[in-house]
Amino acid sequence: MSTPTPEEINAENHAMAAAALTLATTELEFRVELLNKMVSSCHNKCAAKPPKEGSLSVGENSCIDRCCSKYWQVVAIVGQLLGTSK
Amino acid sequence: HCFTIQKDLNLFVLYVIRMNFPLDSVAGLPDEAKAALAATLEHMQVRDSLKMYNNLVEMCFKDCVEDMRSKNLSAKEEPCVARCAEKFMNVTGRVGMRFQEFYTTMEKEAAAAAEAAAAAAEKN
Repeated sequence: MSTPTPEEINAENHAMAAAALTLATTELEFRVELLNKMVSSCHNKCAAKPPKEGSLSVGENSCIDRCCSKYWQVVAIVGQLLGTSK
Repeated sequence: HCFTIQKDLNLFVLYVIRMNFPLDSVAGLPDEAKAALAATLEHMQVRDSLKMYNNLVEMCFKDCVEDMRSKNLSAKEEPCVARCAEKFMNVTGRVGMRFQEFYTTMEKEAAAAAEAAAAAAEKN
């Protein structure tokens, strides 16, 4: 087999870069969606409706902190399960 | 109520930009790819800001606006909407803060684990 030409090496590098870019973009979209869902879930669980005031009370602040912590644990558990059940 | 939607949307978007990319897949990219990624990111920011705007409007309308007897928001409905939006932006800010913390911690742990695995592999 002959060694690859500079053009072939270049083309391969471009293909790899394109794949890495797609991967990075996909991961970014995943993170944004994760954040959005986290906000939505914790807002549903913690924010008083209808709101008596715009700022967050001390209770709501604690609720949000705990909600985020639990949400993150759920992310980890589900991730582990999905990772090991292939 | 001295908050502006624009300022808080920017804050929200900031949490998205500041997220660290996994160094492996981004650091080795050629410059055009990095520029393309930056452009994608900017496009996503705009798109998500607008989506959030729509969702927030819908949510506060659903929670605050009840009677259709008048063309204008009543004296009760208008401050309710303002409070609703402000509260949501505050929740978004706080959750975004915790999100950053978690991700940073998680990536540090992953990096440490990767280093430990590499060191163990070298020994053998």
